[in-house]
Amino acid sequence: MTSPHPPTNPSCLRSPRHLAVGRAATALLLLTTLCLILPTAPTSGVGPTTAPTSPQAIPLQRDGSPPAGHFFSIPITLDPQGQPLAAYQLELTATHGTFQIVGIENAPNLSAYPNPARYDRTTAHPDQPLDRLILADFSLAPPEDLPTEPTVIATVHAYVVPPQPLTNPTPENLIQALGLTTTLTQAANPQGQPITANVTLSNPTP
Amino acid sequence: MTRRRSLSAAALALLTCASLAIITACVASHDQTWLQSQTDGEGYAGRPDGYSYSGNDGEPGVLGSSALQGYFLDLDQMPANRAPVGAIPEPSLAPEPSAASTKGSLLTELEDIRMRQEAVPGKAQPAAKRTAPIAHAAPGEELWIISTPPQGDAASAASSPTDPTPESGALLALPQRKPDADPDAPRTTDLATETIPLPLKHTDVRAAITGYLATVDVTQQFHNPFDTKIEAVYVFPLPQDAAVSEFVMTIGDRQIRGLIREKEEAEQLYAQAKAQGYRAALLTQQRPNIFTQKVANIEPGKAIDISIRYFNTLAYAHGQYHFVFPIVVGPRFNPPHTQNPITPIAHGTPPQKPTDSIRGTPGTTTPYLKPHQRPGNDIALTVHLNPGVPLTATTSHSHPVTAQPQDDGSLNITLANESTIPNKDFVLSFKVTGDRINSGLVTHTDDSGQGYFSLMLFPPDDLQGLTRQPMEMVFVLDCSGSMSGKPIHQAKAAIKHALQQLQPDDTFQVIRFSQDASAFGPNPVPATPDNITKALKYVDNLRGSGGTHMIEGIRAALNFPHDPQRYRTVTFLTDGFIGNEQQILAAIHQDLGQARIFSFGVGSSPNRYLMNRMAKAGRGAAAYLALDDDATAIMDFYFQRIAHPAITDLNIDWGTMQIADVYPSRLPDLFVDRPVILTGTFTGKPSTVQVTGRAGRYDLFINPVTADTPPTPAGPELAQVWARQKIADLHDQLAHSETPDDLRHQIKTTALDYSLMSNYTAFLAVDTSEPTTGTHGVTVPVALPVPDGVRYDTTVPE
Repeated sequence: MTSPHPPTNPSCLRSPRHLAVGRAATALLLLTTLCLILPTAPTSGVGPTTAPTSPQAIPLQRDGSPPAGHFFSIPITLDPQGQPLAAYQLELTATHGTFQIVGIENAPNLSAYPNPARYDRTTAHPDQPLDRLILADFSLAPPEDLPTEPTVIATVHAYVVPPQPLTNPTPENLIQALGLTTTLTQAANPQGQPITANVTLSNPTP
Repeated sequence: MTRRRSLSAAALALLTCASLAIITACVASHDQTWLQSQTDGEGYAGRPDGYSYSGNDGEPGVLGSSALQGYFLDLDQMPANRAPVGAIPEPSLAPEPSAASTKGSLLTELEDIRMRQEAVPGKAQPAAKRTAPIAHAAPGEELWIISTPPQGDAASAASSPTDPTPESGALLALPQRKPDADPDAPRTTDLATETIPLPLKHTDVRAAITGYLATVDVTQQFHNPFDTKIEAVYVFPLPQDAAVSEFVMTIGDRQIRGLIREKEEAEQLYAQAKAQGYRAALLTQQRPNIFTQKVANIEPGKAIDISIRYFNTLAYAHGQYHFVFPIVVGPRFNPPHTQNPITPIAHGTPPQKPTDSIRGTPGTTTPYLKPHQRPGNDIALTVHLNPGVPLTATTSHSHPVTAQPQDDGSLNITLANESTIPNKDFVLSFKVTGDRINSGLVTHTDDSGQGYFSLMLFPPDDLQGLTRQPMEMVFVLDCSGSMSGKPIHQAKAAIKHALQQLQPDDTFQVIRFSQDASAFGPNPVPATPDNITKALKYVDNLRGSGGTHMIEGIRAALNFPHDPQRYRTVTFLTDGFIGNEQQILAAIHQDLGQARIFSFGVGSSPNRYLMNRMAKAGRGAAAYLALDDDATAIMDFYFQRIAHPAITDLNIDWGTMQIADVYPSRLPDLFVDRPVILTGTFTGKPSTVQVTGRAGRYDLFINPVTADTPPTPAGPELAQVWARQKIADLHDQLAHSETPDDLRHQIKTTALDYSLMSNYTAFLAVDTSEPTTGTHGVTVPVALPVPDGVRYDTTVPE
């Protein structure tokens, strides 16, 4: 058995000098758009969603007792409604209990976004362990390779402690107990123009 | 605003290569402008004469041996015919002998689970060959090795006097090696050499150098060749000024980006994840150049990769840039009362948890392989060198390498042999066209209006026309056990050459330290021929043994009356293998007086953090003396530098810029051929700055330095460069501060705001998709080879 060799940071190998000037300019435009929009972007049409995820087992501790907190993963699905998704930025917040993000996973089958999204983590409430996460990413893939259908663009891994102990700590119940919501700040097409999209905390509906 | 700035920087990081390329050209510019478009430089791909490579052995394609016994490439002396890329042959200079094979012996320490009290066979072996059942620790049970009964062939072969298996009473976990876990693992072919299978299988390093900035991606490939679940623990070095900003755990084709958190919080989350069976990774920092990687719940036969990205600025000296990738942590000596000790232990010895005797917090252990043992892991390293202007010479001082020119004028440099034993730093130097670099100022203002700058100051040429004043030279030689053998031989050769360079008006002293300190004489003596002859004999008789009580050497070197007629320089020659760096830096801060400290890191993997911080605290400079370097040439460089007065009392007129938070906070002196980089924040409009200083009796003006603002998105890295320097400076102040809690808070806040590693922050990644089955297994540390040239028997306690 041999260890799989990991991709060795394709973003480093993919030097910008190898990219066409036009595409680099497009990327710059997308990024600039996102950075400018971030503090003031309206959320109309891309409202918060708390759709349940598919059921996932919550393990017990090794000694059989319920754990103080739970680790669970939250798939984030983005539906660009038929438009090629070249860039996005979204926000994830919780309002109750403990919500500590411990990882941001890529979408392994999404070639246009091979790496985990970039993040900015802050604390929603200074006195409570409630993370507020901003995710953003862009792709320089050809438009035909960009997702146009509902797609899991990232999976957020988190450690949570609900405000009240749950007898049945399913992901749906945890999301509800934590008041977990996501808001799409902006999505854009390859030309850097905003597009209408929806974001949900769930796997895509078949 | 902070959030906005951070996110903007994070998003723009994907275009790092572009921004660095823009920064690149400035450094090698030939006029007063530091920044210059990359296209202004002439790439050597376009040279009409082409080139190929030639070493001293005459074989093309290999970077041959230099005057400093390194491996060099001099493009100006290349034959006219350019060698095809694919025609570069293998290096002719023999690399390290590749690791031979193994009996599969493995002893691992048990850290977090209890073991059952039961006799077990002595050596772990491939499962198919085992003749006796092996005991497995279970939760809530204790495992005591009562005896090691005789075994079959494998055991008898390993039961040599150097057999690391304890006889009785040792607490050890003995994971059984999975029979088909790794068919590629080397097998025993030579009883004299035993390859130890380790959870770290391979390290892949890819560095991209543009200008004076290096962006380095390090991928550590962990695997589990045993038949029980493990937690891998690996203590490894990075450059002391590395700004670690990315951390990704890869499981198959899934990549999980880690987040930076407060260290205690991250450690608690990691412990929870580990206990619940989730795969998790935690990166913590023990020193600015020593890190610990923990990877929990690696199942038998499975692999988990950890990718780290950092960037750092390259040192510039002797007309060359120097890229260093440290590969192994040398065994540290911890005097009593060392805070957060880093304690060497022999591979296979019972787990020990060194404790900080002051704060009661646990320290770090680093297990080392015995001389006949070889690590079962290797390393691949590639450097993409693209300074933006033509290269004139490239030298690998430490390893044989191969070089491949790229169409864009850059150069890909690769370790010639991946099976090289990872036991010495990789050091690459390169020179670009032009006589020298010039002073320059780069600025960047973020969305919030916060400005960052980086100012490189280069001493003026006319400094070389001034002669130095008489000197009081104090040589301090580390004579501890870790220096015995080749390191002390090199250091003594350097001192002896330096003694013979002294001028009649100079005075000198030679101090040695190990367990204690003693000196050539009670006071510095004139540099007469007779005194120098006696000193040469004194140095000749020095030997290396005992512990490294460097504080004794510091006190002996600094605590005597200053001769006002002479410029005192204290020259330290040491490998720096100590765990009490903070105590040393505090002593320098307290006792420096009018002296200047020049630190020489001796050996293949010196403690570069200590060397650089000693020099910075001592307002001098650091240099390095590798085992194969020409000690006389290194000392000649040194004397060239100190043969002219340094510019002291620097004063900077910032024009219209309102400056704050400048680092280093204590302005250093400017020595010939040694630029100084200052970084800080500002508000207002970038402007031209004017620098003045004194050189001996003369007031000096450095040419005005005009600000250059790189186009977006070249600037955001300046924010992290500044933040990293701020953290380093605050960390230095910790050594002597009366308000350490406030400093720690500032370090933590800065690290979190700019997503950087520090002593008080850590990167954490957890895969919560599904827990692994069974217990969380045993903790298996990655044993290290002692650095090349370092003697195991004088550095690792049995």
